[in-house]
Amino acid sequence: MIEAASASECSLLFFEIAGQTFAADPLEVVRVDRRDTDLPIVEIMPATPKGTRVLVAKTASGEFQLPVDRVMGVRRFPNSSLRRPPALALAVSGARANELMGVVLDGQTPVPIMDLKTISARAKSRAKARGR
Amino acid sequence: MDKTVPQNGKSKRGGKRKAEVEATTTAKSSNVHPLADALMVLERVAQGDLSARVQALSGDDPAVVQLGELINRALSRAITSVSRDGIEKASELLVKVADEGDLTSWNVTSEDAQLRGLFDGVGRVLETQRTFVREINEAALRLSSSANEVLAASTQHETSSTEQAAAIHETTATMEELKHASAQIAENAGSVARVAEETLGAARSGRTAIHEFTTAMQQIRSDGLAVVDSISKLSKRVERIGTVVEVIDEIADRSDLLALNAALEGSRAGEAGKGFSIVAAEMRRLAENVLESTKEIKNLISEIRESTHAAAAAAEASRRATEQGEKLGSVAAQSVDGILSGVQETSDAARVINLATQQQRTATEQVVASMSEIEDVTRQTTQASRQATSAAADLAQLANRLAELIKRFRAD
Amino acid sequence: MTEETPSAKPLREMLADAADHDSVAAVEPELELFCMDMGGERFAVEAALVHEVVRLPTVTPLPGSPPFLLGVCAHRGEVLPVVDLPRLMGRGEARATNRSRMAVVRFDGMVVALLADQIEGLTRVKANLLEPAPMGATQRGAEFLSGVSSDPLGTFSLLDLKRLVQVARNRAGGGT
Repeated sequence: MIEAASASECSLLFFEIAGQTFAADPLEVVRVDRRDTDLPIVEIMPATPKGTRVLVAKTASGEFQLPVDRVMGVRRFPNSSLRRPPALALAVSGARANELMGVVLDGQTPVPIMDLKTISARAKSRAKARGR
Repeated sequence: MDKTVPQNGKSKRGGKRKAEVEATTTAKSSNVHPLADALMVLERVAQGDLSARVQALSGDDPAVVQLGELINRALSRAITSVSRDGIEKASELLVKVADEGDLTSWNVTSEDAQLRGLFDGVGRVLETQRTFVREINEAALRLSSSANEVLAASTQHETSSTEQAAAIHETTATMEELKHASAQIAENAGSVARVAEETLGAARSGRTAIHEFTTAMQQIRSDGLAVVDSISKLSKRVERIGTVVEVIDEIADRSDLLALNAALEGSRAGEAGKGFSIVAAEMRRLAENVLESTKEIKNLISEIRESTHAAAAAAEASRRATEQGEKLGSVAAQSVDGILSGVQETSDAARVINLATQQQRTATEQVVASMSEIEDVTRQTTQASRQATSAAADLAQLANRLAELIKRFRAD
Repeated sequence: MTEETPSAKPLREMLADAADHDSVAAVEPELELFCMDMGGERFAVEAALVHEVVRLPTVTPLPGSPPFLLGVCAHRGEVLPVVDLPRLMGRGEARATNRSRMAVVRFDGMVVALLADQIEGLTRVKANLLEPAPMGATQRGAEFLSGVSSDPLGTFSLLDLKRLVQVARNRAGGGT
């Protein structure tokens, strides 16, 4: 069912970390790659050791890698399945709240859409503190 | 009354006449004619009876009566002489001789020449008797002592013979036992020899079996080495496969990445990226298939590795086992050789024992036979001894009787 | 909602226009109190605020969220936050079993799904029988309570949802 993304549809890159499914805007992903020793690492949450993939995204100062366990691929969803994050969730999550761009309903399962741009800000501040 | 040895003729005659006379006397009872009576008395005197007297001293014929009286007077006178004393004494002594056997106390003599001659004659007779008795006594003594010696000797001989017979009998019995025992030994030696033979046979076949076993072990070992070699080759090949699979995996992974990024690009391009996205999706599927396959291959490789490890371990265990087996085999072979030599010795020994006991049995039989003969001879000897003893006993007895008899006569 | 445009809108914009819910009819408010067991305690909310009670659906955790926010779930086309109230109040935690229930509560434009061990149901209480919540070291989270009361089944604490959200917001250190 591969069709062009029409205006009523969106594309989302699906990936998995520690058994949890996430999504991100494909336009924010520079590439999918293997772990790279050079790029700074930013985590949504710790990936399992056998995860070999990273999402490479761009910051103002360069690229960073987001370790994931698995990249499922790009999927299309009707825009009607997009939702804003619940207000309470945003309210209570504090600084990290902004990293949640929204939620897509994959059937009855809500999948968080992560804001790589916002996440990339962490890379700038913490990349030097963390080292692997 | 009359204890001297009577003369046969006289006694016969006397007896007959006496009977006649007595018959005549009794027929006439008190009417005996004095003459007849006188004749009777004279007859009796003639016969020696000096005590006869005429009883019928009454009668018609005074001359006969006188005759009778005269006869009586003459008879009385005849024996009232001095020699009557001598005769009385002599007859006393003779009676004593007869009664007591005393031959030593004859000292009667008489003034009467005839009597004197008679007495001397009697004395000489008695002297002769004395000598006779003495000699008989001596002879009897000698005989008795000889008889006793013979008896003693033959009794001794008899005892010895009996003892000898008993000893021989015991020896014979012992020999019999020995015969039995040696027969038993021979039998045992025989069965030992049989068992030794059997053991020998078994040990020989055991040795063969061990040899075959050792050969088999060696075969297994060389086979095992071949197996180990094959396993090692297999392992190497598997490793090569593993390496190849890793390369494929790498390629597939890269393809997957490529496809993902292509999909990203496709989504970015929007409408234009439609075809691109299709290709990307297909590539992804391809890459996923390859990854699936390589995953399976990797699993297989793991399994093969496990199997080869197990096989190698088994081969190693087998090798150790065969080594052990060979060691045991050589130990067993040594043991069997030991048994063989031991059994051979036993077998030889048993045979020697068998032979020896055979010889012994023959010898024993011979001894028993000889003993038997000796026993027979001894029995005969014993028999003879017994007879001799018996005879000697009789002889001794007779000698004793003789001595006893002679004792009645005192010669000194 | 969205219309056909020659080029796709950026996601952000689309999200800004996204609806909060599918067209859902306004629920009828309840007039009484709604009681439920959470973390072993009896709590109640104004029945009018309780929209629905459902079985616990798939809860997607949100990374970087506090522990009392178990995640989000889908309910009638809405994405609802799922809250573990006892955890928020520091009084323990709700037990998420296959018997657990979710009470969908609406107020002040906010929708929250409260995880409950057990749903009791409606109870009536006279407003004047409400007593202030006892304060003390052992009674943590008393600031979230409007008061306490009791019914034939026992005592319960009345939740002040507004206050709850406020406190939660303040704790997180930021707002939307």
